[in-house]
Amino acid sequence: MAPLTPAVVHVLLALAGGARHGYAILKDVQGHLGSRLRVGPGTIYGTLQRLMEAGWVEEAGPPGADVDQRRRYYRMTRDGREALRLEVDRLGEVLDVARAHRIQPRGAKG
Amino acid sequence: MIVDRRPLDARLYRAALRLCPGEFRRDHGDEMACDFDEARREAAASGGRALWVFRLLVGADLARTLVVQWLRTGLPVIGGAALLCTLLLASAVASAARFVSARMRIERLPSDAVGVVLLSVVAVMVIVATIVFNHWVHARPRRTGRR
Repeated sequence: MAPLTPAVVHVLLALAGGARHGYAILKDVQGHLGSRLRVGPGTIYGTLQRLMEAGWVEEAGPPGADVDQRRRYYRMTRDGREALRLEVDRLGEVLDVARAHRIQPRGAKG
Repeated sequence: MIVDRRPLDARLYRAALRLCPGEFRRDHGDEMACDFDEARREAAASGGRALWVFRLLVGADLARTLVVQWLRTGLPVIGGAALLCTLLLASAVASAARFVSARMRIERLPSDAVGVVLLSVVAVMVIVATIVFNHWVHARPRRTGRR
């Protein structure tokens, strides 16, 4: 499987904790990325659309009664979770190779 | 008369969303407009500079989304391929007409008739090529590898 794009990884990570609506996903992804990569609604919904077509994300019912009824909620499917796990494994291997070459991520201890 | 009291940038954003392909707009247009309003409120609360940065970022995001979503429909490729096929066929017909006129020792081609034939061929080809390519592109299953 080809590496996933950063947008796909971060959207899936945002959905790892449960069903969320688009704006919550957007805020989450902006929180992950800080100022490194700016994402907007178009990027988030374009990514969600592709992930739904691939069967990695599906629409979910509102998680509770006191939720914004204008919003649609999305959740990760089992296939999506598996794809995310594979990508995290791959990134872990990349990190191991980098550490073997004494390339430490910024802010890493040791 | 109903007056839209939304800020100008919110109205412009909604108008620009109409440029998105129909399917994407129907699926996500309302959510995107709703998110814009919410994010705009937050940016406005942080000051004028933050609001301008927000407008620039969202504008760039929407421009990128328009390009990506239209490319995903396959229509630009279909249009380009149809145009290319048409130009190739038209030039082939023109070459054939020149060849025939040389063989038949026709000094001067009836330009009106040739023009009508060429235009008809071009029109038919554009229609046929667009239908064929459109069918071909949309009959193929979508790639699910890299997302």
